[in-house]
Amino acid sequence: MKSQLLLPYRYKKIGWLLLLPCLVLALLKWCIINDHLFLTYVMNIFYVNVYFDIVPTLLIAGMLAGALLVVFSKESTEDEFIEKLRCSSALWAILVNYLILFFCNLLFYGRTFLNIIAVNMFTTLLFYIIRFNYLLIRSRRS
Amino acid sequence: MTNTLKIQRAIKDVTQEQLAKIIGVSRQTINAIEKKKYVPSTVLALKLARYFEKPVEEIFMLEETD
Repeated sequence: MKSQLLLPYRYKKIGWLLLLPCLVLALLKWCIINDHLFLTYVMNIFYVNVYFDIVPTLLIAGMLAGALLVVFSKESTEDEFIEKLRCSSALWAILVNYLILFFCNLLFYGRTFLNIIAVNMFTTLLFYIIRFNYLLIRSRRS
Repeated sequence: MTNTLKIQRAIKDVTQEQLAKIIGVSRQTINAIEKKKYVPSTVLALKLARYFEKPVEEIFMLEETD
């Protein structure tokens, strides 16, 4: 089975090179630095003449692009079994992600919940990456 | 569904790695089929049968529960 959606294998490495540094920097920025020094005028739709911090925007763009490249590029040998692992990991990731969100919605309020939603932007892709690689490694061991 | 892939492989004396390369799939796929964790597509089953020069029914067979 040939999937039309997947990029060649080499994009996976580019994806990891983009995802990991952006993830580390974003966590650092979010947890430790958490200031807004680099105020720049940015193109946006809702506000006029307001300055925003461009750094989180760039880090989020890097993380999303990196994670998408990792998820949507082929393995070195892509075949029907790998395709099956992909589909089952995607379903698993969606289910786990939304179950967590469901309970967080009931248990957290205010700023905490907003933070959870912010993290939740990436967790579907991250859960997928973790689950898919776990299944790959497990099936490689015989 | 059960299969005799491991036996067929022993008769032909090929490793999982070699068989995977010949058929054009990953080694995980051959491993998963042998462990009965994965039922291959018809195309893959026919390719395997062609390689072992045997009818598909000799390699893959239905079980009571199927």
